[in-house]
Parts: sequence; structure tokens; C-alpha cells
Amino acid sequence: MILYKSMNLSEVIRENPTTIPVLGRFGIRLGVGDKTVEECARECGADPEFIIAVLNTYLNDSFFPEKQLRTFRAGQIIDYMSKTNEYYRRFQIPTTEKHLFAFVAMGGAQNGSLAEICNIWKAFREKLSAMIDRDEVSDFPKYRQMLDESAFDSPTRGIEPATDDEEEAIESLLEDMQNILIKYVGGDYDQNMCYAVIFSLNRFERDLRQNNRIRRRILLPLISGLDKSQ
Amino acid sequence: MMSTKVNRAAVVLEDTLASVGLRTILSDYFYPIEVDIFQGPDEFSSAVAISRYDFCFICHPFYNCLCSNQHLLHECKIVVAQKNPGRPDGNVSVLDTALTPEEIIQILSRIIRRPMTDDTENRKELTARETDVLKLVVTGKINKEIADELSIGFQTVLSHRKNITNKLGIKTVSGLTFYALSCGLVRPEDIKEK
Repeated sequence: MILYKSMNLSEVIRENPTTIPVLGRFGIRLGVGDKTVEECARECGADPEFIIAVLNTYLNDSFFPEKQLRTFRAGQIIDYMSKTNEYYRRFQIPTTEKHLFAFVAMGGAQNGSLAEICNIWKAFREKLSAMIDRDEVSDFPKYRQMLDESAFDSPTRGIEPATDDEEEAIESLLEDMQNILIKYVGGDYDQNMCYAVIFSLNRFERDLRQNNRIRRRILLPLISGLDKSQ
Repeated sequence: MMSTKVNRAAVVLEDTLASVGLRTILSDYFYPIEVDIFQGPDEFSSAVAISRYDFCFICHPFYNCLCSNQHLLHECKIVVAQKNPGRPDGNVSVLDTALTPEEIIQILSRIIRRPMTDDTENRKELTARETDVLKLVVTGKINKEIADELSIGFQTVLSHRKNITNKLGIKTVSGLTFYALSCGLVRPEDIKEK
């Protein structure tokens, strides 16, 4: 489903509730009334074209308006990615963890394989936290400083972005956890709790994959191109 | 997901809207499938010379054009798709594009009945060699060390690792460690702290 900025936002959300956290990253909160996407975006001081491009990328796996996304300011993309990091840290990680730990606890201490799944989760959490820390402590401030110094909204020099392999490994850990639960879980466990964990992991993996697609194919080429022009 | 076989279909119809509609139905109801639309038999002939398709949905006039080049179609399941396509003939199936969407989906589900996964490949146990590689991977060995230890080539190690991932559906060392521990292939004390 391709969205347009003239669409009624409440209908968009009703059809695609997974857009709620994405909208939240732009400061758009529920209680949207009958406003369009564009009206809600402008009220929050956000660029409606950018919001629509991100929502469409997020909702449609095969849709990636690369050329259009590259027309947006690097600063906009950094702000969005920073909000996404905050969302992961404050909501997505704790929520997934809550489901996972409850699932493991309900399985009973004798089911050691469930506890082992927690180790994969811990490996994922450590890698993601390291990536977020590097974004927020090192890379993004550096990009922003360069943007402030440039009239063209252009970062940057000396950037060492996360490699494709690293990001792929982060996403793969979530994928592996789902496959393990689906294919190899055994012993005593609660199937409904397992569903909650798989659902949460699946949403997280999808979000992370889309976000890393924007990072790899939009933000980093923008920065790399500007770096060469300096 | 990674071991699921992706079907490939070519749609070679006169009517563009029918082509797009058929692609939508195939994509929405028969995942995973890749669908390419061709404007005519010439364009399809060029493509099929380099690509392999599992299914070819084609109208009668275009099919007749290709009859002299049957070798192009020998690996495809042929489906004549158009209004009033007549009766199936030999290995050629038919799809009446004037039917209701539900009827079209039912017919397609009979045509695309084959299992979506390659069972023989998917359900295989790990070989002894793959198990050896797996044990070394989860105990923290890198590919070069595994090659040396097992006296096999570096590329062979990569090939075994790819097979392990395809068979188990697990990509990461953390995930493989879980599998090896839960199957008793290694003991917890064998796992190197990272």
C-alpha cells in the first residue's frame, strides 16, 4: 500500500497500526482527528514529503524511493535515525525483553534451552547498544557539527560507519532467534508467550532492517559523497 | 525463509492490465514467487535464453509464435491464459482470465501445487563433516583455523558453513551455539568466552 500526503492519517493508522511508532519519531502523536498526513506533519514542524517517503519505505519491502530519499537533507535523516535509536532503547528493547524473560520464566528452570535463547538476545542487545552508542556519542554529533559548519547541510570527514557485515549480523541475530523458536524449541514452554516473543522479534527485525536500509543506502552515500566534494 | 524455494513465473499476455492483475494475484497468494512481465514472444524469447522460469503464463497467439522454438519452454510449466482458452492439452494447462478472482486462485493453486521448499535438501541432517565444522565454529575457531584443523581448503569450509546455515536456518555463531548445545554436540565448557 503506497501512502500519499493527502490521505487521512487516521485511516492510514487504522490500516497500518505499525506506523504508530514511526510517526512518533516525527513527533506525531495519536489523537489525529480527521487531519491529513500533511496537516499533521506541518503541525509538528516535520517535512510531509520526508514522512511519506519513510512510511512508504517502512510499509513496502519492495518499495525504496532511493532517488527521492537522497533529495532530503542529511540533517533530517540523522534526526530521524536518532529518534529511532531512542525508540529502540526506551521501548523496543525493554518490551521485547519483557516478553522474552516472561516466556523463559514460565518455561521453568528445567528447560535450559530457553535460557540459552536469552544468550542470543544478550548478544543482540550488546551489539545494538554499541551501535546506538557510537551513533549518539560519536558519529551523529560529528555529522551535526559538520552540518553546522557547512552552508550546504553537508557533513563530513573521518567517518567510520558501521559496516554492512556488522548491521547484517545484528539483524541476523533476531532472525536466528525466531527460527530457533519456530524450529527447535522443546520441553516445557508456553505457546502463547512464545507467540508474543516471536511477534515482538519479528517487528523489531523488520524495523531494524528498514532503518538500516535507510542508513546504508541513503545516509552513508550522502555523507560519503559530500566528504569527497570537500 | 532462506531455504524456501522461490518460484519464477513469466507472464506473456497481450493485455497489459491482465498481465499486471495476474502478477498481483501470484505475488499476493503464492509467495514466494518472482514474476516478470513480457510484452511479447520476442522479448520473452530473449529473456528465457538466459533465465529459467518455473511457469510461463502465455496467451494462445504468443504461444503459437513460440511453438517452433519449443526448446525455450521445455523447463517451464506452460499455462495458456486468456478468455476462453479451451481445454488443457498434454502438459499445457489453461487459465480462463474471465473467471472470478476466487476461481482463478483455485486454478492457480492446483497449477502451483508443488511444495514450496526443496524437501530433500531441507530435511537433510548435517553431514559428519558439517557437524565437525559446526563444532569448531561454536568453539570460537575462525575459518582459517577450521581449514587447518580439518585439513580441508578454506573455500570448502565456507561451503560447509553455507550448507549448515541453509539446513538449520541459523546464520549467526550465537544461534549455532544454541543449536550445538541443545543437540549435545558441544559442552558449555567447550564454548570460548567472547
